[in-house]
Amino acid sequence: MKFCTVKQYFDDENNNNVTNGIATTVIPLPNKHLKIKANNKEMEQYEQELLRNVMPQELTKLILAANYLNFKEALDFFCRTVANAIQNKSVDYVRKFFGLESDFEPGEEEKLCKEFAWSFEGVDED
Amino acid sequence: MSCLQLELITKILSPLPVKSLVRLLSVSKQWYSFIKDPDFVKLHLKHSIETNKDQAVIPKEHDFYPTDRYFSRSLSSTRIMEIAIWNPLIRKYKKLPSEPRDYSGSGRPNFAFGHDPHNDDYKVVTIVEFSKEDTPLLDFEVKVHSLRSRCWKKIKEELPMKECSI
Repeated sequence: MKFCTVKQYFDDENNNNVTNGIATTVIPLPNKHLKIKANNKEMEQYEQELLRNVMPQELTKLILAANYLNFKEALDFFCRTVANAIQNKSVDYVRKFFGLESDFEPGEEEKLCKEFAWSFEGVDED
Repeated sequence: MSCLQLELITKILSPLPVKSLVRLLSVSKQWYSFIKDPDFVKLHLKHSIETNKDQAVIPKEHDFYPTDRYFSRSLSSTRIMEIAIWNPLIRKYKKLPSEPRDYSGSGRPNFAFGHDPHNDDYKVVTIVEFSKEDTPLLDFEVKVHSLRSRCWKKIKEELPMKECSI
């Protein structure tokens, strides 16, 4: 089941969903999972090592790749990593991370910031 | 959500603490609607219960009645009972409609707050013990407030036992 989509990926000649760089990061994961099945700590270390060289913004691409290739463990891991990465970050940082822009009317965003001022305390600097 | 589908955004946002989610309401109108969506709220609550996150320890003061994630406080004046429920995690409170007392004399109120899973509704129950005029007998007035219907309902049935505590 895990490898049906991978086979399809290799069969598709023009695959825009998963670039080569992403594939090399995502595809080894299931094998590694099988090898280190019961040992969570070892898996965590492997995952940290893997992401050391990945820029935070690349994570959204990894998520899309894992989703497309139907790798549940990889998808769970990448989503968890993104959640940890954005947890204490500013609104601007999160917008840049996901490539979003504010579409609030002038004044609406300020109103929200005022209403929930406490939630902006202690946020990491960008 | 740029190139990420709703399902993936849900996976990313579900484990975040309430404080982060409240801040992220300001990201965009889409994120505002998404985070405030009752289905997402339910999913987030389920996740935080399962992972023991977003719990608060709040000392009990003489007028506060802690129940799970919310508190109710009574501000009783002579004829009208005023109650508010407070969510300490989002720091918002909601004042319930005032209800005049249907009994004379002084009463001792007790409160309870809980979720009714059958109707997916939050309810506040007040049980006021009061002494009937000119008699040593005690009686109870029981009222239930539903957040969905936004009104109080008096429970006319007899309480099974006169001695009870919440």
